[in-house]
Amino acid sequence: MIGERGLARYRTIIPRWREFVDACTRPLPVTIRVNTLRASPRDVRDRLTRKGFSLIPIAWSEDLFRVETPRVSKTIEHWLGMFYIQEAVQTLPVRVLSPQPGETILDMAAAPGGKCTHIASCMRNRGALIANEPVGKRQPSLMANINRLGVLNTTVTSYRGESFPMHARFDRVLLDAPCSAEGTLRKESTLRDGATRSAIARLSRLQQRLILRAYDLLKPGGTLVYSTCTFAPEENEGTVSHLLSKRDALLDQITLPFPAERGIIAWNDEEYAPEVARCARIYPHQIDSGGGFIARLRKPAR
Amino acid sequence: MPDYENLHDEVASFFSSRFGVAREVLDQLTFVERGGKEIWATSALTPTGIASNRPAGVRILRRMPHGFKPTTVFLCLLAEHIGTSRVEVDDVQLLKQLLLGRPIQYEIDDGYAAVSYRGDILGCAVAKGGAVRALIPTQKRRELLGCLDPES
Repeated sequence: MIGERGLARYRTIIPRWREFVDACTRPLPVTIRVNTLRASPRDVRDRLTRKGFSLIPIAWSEDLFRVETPRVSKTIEHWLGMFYIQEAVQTLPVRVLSPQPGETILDMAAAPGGKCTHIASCMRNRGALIANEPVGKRQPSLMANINRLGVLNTTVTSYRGESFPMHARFDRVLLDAPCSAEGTLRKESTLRDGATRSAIARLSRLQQRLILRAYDLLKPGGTLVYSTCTFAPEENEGTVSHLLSKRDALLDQITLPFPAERGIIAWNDEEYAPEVARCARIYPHQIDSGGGFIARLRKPAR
Repeated sequence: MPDYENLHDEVASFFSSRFGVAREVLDQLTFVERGGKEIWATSALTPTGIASNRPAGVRILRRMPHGFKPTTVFLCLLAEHIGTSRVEVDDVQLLKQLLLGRPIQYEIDDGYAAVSYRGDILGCAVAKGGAVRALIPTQKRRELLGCLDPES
């Protein structure tokens, strides 16, 4: 059940509330992202199908499949790094970031490595990718995934994001921020009551510091993608509005390959920058995955 | 300034002569010697002023008294480019023996080899006097054994 004290506070902003609630209580489908550094989508589909797995293509992404058969992680294909088990919604921030070969890119909070290895794959292993993860105990999984997927252009660092050194500037920065993770409630049922107000407030303050540093690390003309896996406007539109009030950032309209909701410009007693309507809110009942929020910002070219 | 070109030539010669890997396969990579004994392959160098916990790339070779020893992870990356020194183990029970640390009989020149299972390169082995032992790291062997059970 969705707790009245928690997620129910979003009843006025989440469309088709009943469908949302139903989707949140269904098991999360298993999806895999093909690691195109190691294999093609056709290769992976053919190999797994031959082994008895049932793969259903995701219409809006040629390298994503839903797997209907259990234990896909216990295959040689997984061991060889031909795919990464990843929620469909978690692939969207990198699609919006649109990494290119040869660029210099920072993934500011990179563990366990799903988005970072996706970026490396889009870069065709060319250019420089910094995978930053400040939490030491999360680094082994990040490094293991980088190794397993054959990523050769990625350096792992462990700076606190808000004090990442300003020595280098980046073409693109992904800030998939630490958040209250309400959008992961289909795999973490304890989140069905929503996050506590104090946790949201604490995370929001951290996100505000992180987004300012992420923006400052961009080259002129560079692109920042800010994403979370939560529904809380304080952590989403609130954080983006904070950046817009402090820097000269330009906010892009996001177009996703399926219907998504726009960012909200007011909620409860808060008003956000009107531009945040250009952001995207994704709900579990819209793509049968988890939920999240994505904003794409640019630094003006000098 | 490190001598990247000589090192590149040395590495390419090793993989070409022992494993039949065409030199152009390695053209896009930079090889870097780290810690005196390790050679890494990378396609990028870290921007200056940033301290890394793990440098870009993968460890590909270790210098041993008798020459280079290749790593499992890099042999897996080279995959279908490996044309020689392949130990073709297509029988799952034979592969399990190797992964459990038991030698198998296989006719191949002494030295390092690549374990191939139904066309996939799974890692490094060493051959001596007609016997082959796997050199795949223990943790990776355990994971691989877990993958084989449903397939056997």
